[in-house]
Amino acid sequence: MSDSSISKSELTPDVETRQVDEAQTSSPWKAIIVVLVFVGFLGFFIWALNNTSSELPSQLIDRPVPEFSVVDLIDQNTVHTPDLFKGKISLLNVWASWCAACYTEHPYWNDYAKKKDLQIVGLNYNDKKNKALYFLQTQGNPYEKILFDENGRLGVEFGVYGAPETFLIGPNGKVRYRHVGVVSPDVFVKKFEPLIAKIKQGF
Amino acid sequence: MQAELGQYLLILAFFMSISLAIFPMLGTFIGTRSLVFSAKPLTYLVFASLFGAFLCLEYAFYIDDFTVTYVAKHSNSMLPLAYKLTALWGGHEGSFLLWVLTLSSWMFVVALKTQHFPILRYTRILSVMGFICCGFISFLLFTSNPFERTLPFFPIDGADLNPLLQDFAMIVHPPMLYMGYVGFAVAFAFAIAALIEGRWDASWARRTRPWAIAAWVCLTLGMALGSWWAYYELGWGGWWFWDPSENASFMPWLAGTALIHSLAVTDKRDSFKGWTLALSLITFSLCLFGTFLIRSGVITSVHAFSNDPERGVFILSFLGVVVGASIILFLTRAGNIRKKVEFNFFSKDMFLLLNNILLVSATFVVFYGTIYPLVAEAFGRKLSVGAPWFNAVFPWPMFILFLLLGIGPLLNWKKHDFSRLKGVLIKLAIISFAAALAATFMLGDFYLWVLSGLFLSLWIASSSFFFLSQTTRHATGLSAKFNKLSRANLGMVIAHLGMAVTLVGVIVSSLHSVEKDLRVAVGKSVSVGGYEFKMLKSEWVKGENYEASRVSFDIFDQSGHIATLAPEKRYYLAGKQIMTEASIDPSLWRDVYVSLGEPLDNTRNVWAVRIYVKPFIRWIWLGALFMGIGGVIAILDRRFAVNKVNDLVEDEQEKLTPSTSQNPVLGES
Amino acid sequence: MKRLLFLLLIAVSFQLEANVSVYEFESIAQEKRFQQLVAILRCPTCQNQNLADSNSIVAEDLKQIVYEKIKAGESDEEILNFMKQRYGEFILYQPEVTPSNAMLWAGPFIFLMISLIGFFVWYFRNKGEVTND
Repeated sequence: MSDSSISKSELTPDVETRQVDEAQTSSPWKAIIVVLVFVGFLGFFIWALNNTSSELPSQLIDRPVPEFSVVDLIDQNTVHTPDLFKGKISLLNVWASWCAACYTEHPYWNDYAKKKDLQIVGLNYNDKKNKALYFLQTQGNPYEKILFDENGRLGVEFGVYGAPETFLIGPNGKVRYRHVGVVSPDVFVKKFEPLIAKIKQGF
Repeated sequence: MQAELGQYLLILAFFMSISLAIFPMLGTFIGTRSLVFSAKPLTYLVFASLFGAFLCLEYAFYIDDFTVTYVAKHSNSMLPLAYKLTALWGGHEGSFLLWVLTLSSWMFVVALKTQHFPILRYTRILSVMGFICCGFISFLLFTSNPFERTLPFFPIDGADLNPLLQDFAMIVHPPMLYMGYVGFAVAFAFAIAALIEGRWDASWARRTRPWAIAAWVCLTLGMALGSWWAYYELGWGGWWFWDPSENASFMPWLAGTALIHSLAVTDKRDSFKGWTLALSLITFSLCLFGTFLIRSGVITSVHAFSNDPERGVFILSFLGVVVGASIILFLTRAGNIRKKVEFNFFSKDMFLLLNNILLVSATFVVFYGTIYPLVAEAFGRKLSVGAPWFNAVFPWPMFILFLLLGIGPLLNWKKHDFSRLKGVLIKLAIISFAAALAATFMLGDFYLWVLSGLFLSLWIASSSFFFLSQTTRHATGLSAKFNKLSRANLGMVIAHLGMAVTLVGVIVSSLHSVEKDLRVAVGKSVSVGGYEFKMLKSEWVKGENYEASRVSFDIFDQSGHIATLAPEKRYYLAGKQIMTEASIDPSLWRDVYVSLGEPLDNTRNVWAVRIYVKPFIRWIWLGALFMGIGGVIAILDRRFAVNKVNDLVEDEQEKLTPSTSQNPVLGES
Repeated sequence: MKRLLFLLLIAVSFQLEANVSVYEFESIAQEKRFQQLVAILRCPTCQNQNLADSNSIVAEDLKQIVYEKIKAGESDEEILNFMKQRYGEFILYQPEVTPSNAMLWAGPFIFLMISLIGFFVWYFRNKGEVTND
């Protein structure tokens, strides 16, 4: 760069000269609206960061369990229907031997099975019978009954899109809540217990 | 050791860039020479330290240093060397380092090639870019550090690079895309500097143009590479999914296209300044917004790098500061430009203005569709806006634009006697329509989309050729004609033709592709789209880091054997991942594409096979290549040459203005 | 974070790319219907793919269901409704054209109209003399 000093005209910002007839008094409204819109936009995204998820809401909330007629996994002669949910508060746990997270979740279910006020039902989803039975043999069987959904159609009726998932079903046979993912004790306390208490009170 | 060195260099770059953001800019206001002149060396230092940091990370990949967490996550000892090196940008932290390095490379080139600018303008441009760079380096340092160690424990081997990324396109697509994406920061900085200074005239526009076009070319080619890669790599034969990550680069591309056209008007006519300034700011803002979308996890995407809300907040805040500042600057400085309209309806000015409006509308379509599900979720609805919606809505502003594209370049500035042009245009329209009709029927089933698309392409092409003949009509002989054509105009014609070519590719391949899923056994043949496919053999092969089933097919058409294709089903050993490698017989007129599904028996001699015949699909990327070439030729126009006399005279006049400064810091005048 | 882990664990069990299932159709028209339907249904698990491109377990089941329903003679509307009842409107990549989606479909057109009309109003109001220079 040459050694010339910085001229004053360069230093002082000089707003571009305009012809007189072009200049207009500024309208603050346009500016205010643009800024507000932008701020709203930012605020919306900050909210969205923590309040949106990729989880699908269940279509069955406060609706009766869909009709089905499915064989039990262990006892081939038993056929289950939605009647098995009548009169009890049930947790329907969707699991499979190919589901890695189910291995993590299973010990919790062995614990939950000790609760006397809840009926724990399993839905073996898209699984092979021998593999499912082996899973139960090695990991434990917390389920009072297990619906054997070999081709996944029952899962589709429930809107299942992966494993593990767990449904909370009231004594009237209506679905109250669906949890996607592992039901850790933390999740159980925060998400399930309040609802179970409500059901017991008759709501 | 090298990871720590990389870390230090990153910290050094942070301090250099924050100095670059503050001190030179300050110097331009208070008139301190030493501060002002520090911009250039600081820029070089930022680039050098980031490049050094990049090399350190590459070295870690080269020597399989799995004590570096990022290397352990994305590499493996069995990975071929080329992919070990490109694995650097296979994940969030490393790709972001590449992002920042690309930004500093642009800064480096700007510092080198704009030294003839008035000194204050030059300094402020570098300072603004320094500020942006600083923001991103902080993002790296505080939320996404690629140099973290796994010590005291470290894995014996790495997790391996996703097999989808073990490919040639991985080497070229991200760098090219980033060069375009980040390159619009240059036009942004030019605009901010102009706003601060209070001057945004034709000469500002002329200086900005080559930089904006260069970024646009890189983004065009980068997107084309990504599309081509998805096509042959993913096995679905698709080349565009309207995935949020694709939209994240499409939005700046559309706005960038409007920008380069608007810059041309401001350059030549000293008008549209509000538009051009606004577009310079908007294009880069969309780049920042896109980065936010992809890296914050707010939208699910196949391409999403990271799902960390903390990162999202950081990017969003930075976006808020940068875009907010640019909005305020724009509104306070340039918000009141009013100019009397001095052009007729039939004028190049008018058509380019409509071009701006339509491209902005198209950008809005993409933006709207991308964030609508998010907004809906805020109101309790979980819905999907996907390809069907975009494909139904997006073409409308574009088709109107293509119609205007055939007319605009033929018009004069300010006013044009349309009565003389009308006759020619009607003839061109009739020819285009007739040819399109014929072609539509030759292709097979009749589709209105195909007819419209072909008509518009031929319309654009014939209009461009007419433009060429008109511009060179006073010259005889091919070389004389070429000399008469300015590079800018030649570039324009080639780029517009590229658009027409891409349009043909898009429309025809979308509607006339044939897809079949079939069960084929060794020795048997199937017939798809006029071709016969005979399965020859199924064998087991070993690659560098995978083993695969390779099934060979002989392809026949009426004339006989035309190709042998061998798709594979690969089993990658390190990550235990399975991948399909499709096999394609490419040609200008159609691709024949075969990919493997599952083996249907234990001998692996019977397979589920997907076969596509896709006519004209290469035209999509060929057109993009034309657009890139057109842009490059336009940049080389003599109008933008640095040592032009006009530039010199202009700058000398600025320097020679009598200095009445009393500021002792400036030194003697 | 847990959600991410869950998704990752599911993903590990899957291949990276399109699985090809072979369905036998009675006519090309039927096959085209299948291909179209399967392209506008979204995979609930691999959420940025349609059923055609996804090879998740749910996608395979749903594709089989679409196939069976087509063969059974159900209309496109019935099939899409079936999916929507179980998975919500999320599963429809093509948003329905209903009043609740009015803003979605109309939004861009309104934007375009407003810009064009606004522009022309501004143009004709501010048009001065076009001199020859």
